[in-house]
Amino acid sequence: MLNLLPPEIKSRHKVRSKLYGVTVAYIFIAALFVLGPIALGTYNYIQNSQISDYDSQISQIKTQIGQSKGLNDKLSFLEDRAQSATQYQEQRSYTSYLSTIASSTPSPVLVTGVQLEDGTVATPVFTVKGTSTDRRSIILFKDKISQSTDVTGAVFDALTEILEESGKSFSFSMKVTFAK
Amino acid sequence: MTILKNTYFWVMTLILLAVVVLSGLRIIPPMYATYQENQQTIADRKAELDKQQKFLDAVNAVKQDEASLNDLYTQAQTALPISNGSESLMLQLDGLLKELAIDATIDVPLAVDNTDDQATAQNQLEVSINGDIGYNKARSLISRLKTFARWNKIKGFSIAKSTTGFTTSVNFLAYFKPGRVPEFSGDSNIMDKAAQVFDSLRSYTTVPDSTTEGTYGRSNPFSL
Repeated sequence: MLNLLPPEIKSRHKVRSKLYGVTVAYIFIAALFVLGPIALGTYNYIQNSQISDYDSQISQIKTQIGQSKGLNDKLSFLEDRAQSATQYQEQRSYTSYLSTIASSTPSPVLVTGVQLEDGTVATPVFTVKGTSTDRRSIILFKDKISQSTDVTGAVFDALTEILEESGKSFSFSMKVTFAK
Repeated sequence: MTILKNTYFWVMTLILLAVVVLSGLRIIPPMYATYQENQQTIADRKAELDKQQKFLDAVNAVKQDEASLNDLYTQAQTALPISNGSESLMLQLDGLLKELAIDATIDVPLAVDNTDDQATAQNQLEVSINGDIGYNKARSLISRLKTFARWNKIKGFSIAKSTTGFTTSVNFLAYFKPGRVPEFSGDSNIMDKAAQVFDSLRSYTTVPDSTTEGTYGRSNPFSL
């Protein structure tokens, strides 16, 4: 299509178009730098009133809590003690260790002493002393107790023969280490 | 003639733009920083409010059942007292041995270092029970110590049989914890949690109370 407009009008159109662009850019920049701070200022004002609102609610609740001070002290103490249980309460079941020793004892063996040396270590060690009429049952005792899942090892400290009027017997001392 | 070719127009436009942009750049960043700071403050306050509300709810819930709180509090005081509590421990052990029909000697230190200074404080009593205690009774004693009202940890024990009977000793540490406790967290399940911990503990005596028990006043305290 041919543009039959006179060159003067064409040029005026171009100028108007450029002027329009400049005006729009102007308005845009002005809006950004003028309305931006206004918007931020409004936000900040709203935020400050929100903060004051929270502060007053917190203060009200604190006052209510303060009125039950005796109760709070008891709750603090109770919570602290409840959380201290694992640190101060016995966690091991020593009777289960004794059961392991008892259930591993063969018929001819007579246990004469059980001693836990130090219960504060990670793997408690028991010294088990006893007598038997034969060596074999003592070895069986050691083997049986070593097979327990909660035992990590059993070693003899002593295995001696005792000569008595009634006949021969054997005494032993064994260290049994439990897993935990 | 067009305005776009006018130098004055462009100079004024640029000056105006420069003024707007520069003042904008001067005002907007601090305002934006305040906005961000406020956002963080609001989040913090909200969290604080939630915490305080939770705390208040927990306190109000406990108020409904203050008797249970008092019971648990007494149990907690017995389990891990703030001072050594030797006398009470002796009475507790006396009760335990009586119940198990064990005749044994109880050795509880009466004075220990119970300072608040964690570096030097022992905060524990080394207790021993010695006597002619057979295997089954010794086993029961060790078992009962696990649920004993006063928290303890076994340090060592020895059960030895001889021709004359048994020589048994049980040594354990009974603890105490001086000092301030941290503030209550507001845990709404505190009562259930505490009940789980303390309800299984067993006391073998009551706290002596001179205001309600005993008769007092003797003309000659040297004779009965």
